[in-house]
Amino acid sequence: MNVAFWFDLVTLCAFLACVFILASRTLGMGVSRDRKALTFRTLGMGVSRDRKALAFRTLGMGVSRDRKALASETVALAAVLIGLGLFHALSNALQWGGVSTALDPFEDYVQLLEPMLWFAVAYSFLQQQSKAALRESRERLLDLFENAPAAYLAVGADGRVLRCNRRAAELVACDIGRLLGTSVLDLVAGLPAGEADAAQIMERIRAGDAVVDRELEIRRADGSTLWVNLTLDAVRDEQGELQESRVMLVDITARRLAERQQQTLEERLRQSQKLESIGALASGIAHELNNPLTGVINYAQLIHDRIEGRKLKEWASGIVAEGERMAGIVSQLLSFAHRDTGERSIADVRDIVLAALAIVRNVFEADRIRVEKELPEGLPEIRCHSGQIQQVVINLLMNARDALNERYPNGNDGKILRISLEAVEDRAWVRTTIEDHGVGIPREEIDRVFEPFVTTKPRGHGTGLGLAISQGIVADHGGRLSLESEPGAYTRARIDLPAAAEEEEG
Amino acid sequence: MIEGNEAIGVVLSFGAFVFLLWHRERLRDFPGRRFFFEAFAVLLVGLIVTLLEGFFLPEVLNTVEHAAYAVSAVLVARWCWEILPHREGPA
Repeated sequence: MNVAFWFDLVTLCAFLACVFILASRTLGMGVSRDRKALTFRTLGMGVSRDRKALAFRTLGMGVSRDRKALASETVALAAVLIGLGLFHALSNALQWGGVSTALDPFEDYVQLLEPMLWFAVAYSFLQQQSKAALRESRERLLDLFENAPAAYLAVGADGRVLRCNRRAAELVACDIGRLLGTSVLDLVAGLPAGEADAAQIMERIRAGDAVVDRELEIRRADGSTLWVNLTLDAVRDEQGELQESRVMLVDITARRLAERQQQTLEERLRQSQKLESIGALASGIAHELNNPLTGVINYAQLIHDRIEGRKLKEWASGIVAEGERMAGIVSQLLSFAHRDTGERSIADVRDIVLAALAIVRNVFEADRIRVEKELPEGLPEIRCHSGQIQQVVINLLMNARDALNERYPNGNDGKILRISLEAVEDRAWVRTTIEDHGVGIPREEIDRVFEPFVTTKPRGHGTGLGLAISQGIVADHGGRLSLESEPGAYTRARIDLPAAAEEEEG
Repeated sequence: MIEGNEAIGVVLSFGAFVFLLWHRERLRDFPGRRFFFEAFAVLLVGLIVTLLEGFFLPEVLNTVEHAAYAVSAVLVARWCWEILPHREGPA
């Protein structure tokens, strides 16, 4: 035998081994069930294209998915390559045995085809690689679109949503399917400002104009509202015809809220500065007035004691009375200017309220005001200057009394005042509520009642310092004093004071 | 003597070789590429030798040709072993 015969025999055996490997692996001989399913799929037998691609990604043999795997087409070409090699080797072997077959005339063509299959296998792999790269790129873009922090929508000329990303659906609190086809106008239904803005935006969409950084309030599917920053741009075809508009929405609710809070803080700061300057002025005036006023009262008292004549005595008494009223005002001014004095201690708000009610009881009884109390025990204690808090409660009670008397000057069963205590915000605060059904506070005054020298009471009945002092005291204690009122119906005052820490209470 | 089909085979194979060479960077991730491309290179050698045996050393070059085909076939088998899933214990 010729040496070439043995080489051909090796060739034949090698190709038979190829067939065996292919068959064993693809038909699953000695391969686990999962792998069988996998390899079966890799040959693409009766499996959809997506499934095939998926299965073949797993054939990468320790290489990364997509880029380094062989596609079913590539493996099929490799199988053809092996088939042709086997045919060639078999033909050679038969020739060595002197056997000729009907396939012999095709041997030359096979010899031509065989190298081309190497090219085909490599080309198929490159194609698959390009497709995988394209798919990866598309997936990345899709991911960027879907998971972008901003909401993206494509809107038709009629204002209806054609496409959108997931963030857009999240923004309006509904699923994508429901959002598609929805009109932009539906997003602002029932919001007067939003509707006006949306009408303008719709005009822009129809005209194919751009909108940049327009802030808009929209309504979500769950009924809540939020503020968004809207930017839109028109998409036109080659002829310049408007196709759709691309819309980007960014949720700016948090920013708007922060801006509003900042405005409130600035307003409070201005108010605080104003109060500070008024306090300084008041303190100065009070000090200057205090001594001469004491003299006036004392001299008037001397005149009253020594003068004869009933009429003159009556006038002197008038001077003393008015002087004492002025002294009261001066005292209040000094109190407004120098509030925080004395040590603070742990106290029960209930005790403070009961003490305040005891002080005003006689006055209330005289005015036939019925007090309804809801003062539960066991509320958290507070750290405070009890006298000052009592002063606040008395002040609010007296305001309520004045409001009731003004509404019912001749006495009435409706002269009811309610006072209640409760722990709020997870027992972090103790709330005292004083509610009356008196004349209420005019709407135009409600924002100003905490300003010094602002009063809703008739001339001569109030200095306008009570609420300003009360608010200052409560603020000094880290609390909040708020008023709610409906003119002619009611006034509700709330004092919220922070509960003392538990270790302090103990 | 040069046979037409052998010459065409060499030209086509050479074209394929140039293609593979040109795209060698992109084919870096080709599974089992070493065995695959080595098999092709050896096949190309076999084809060239087939062409040359018509001119000189017919006996020797014929043996080299058959040896090249045999080596190429073995490398293809090794490639098949490389790219398809391996045995993973009992089914």
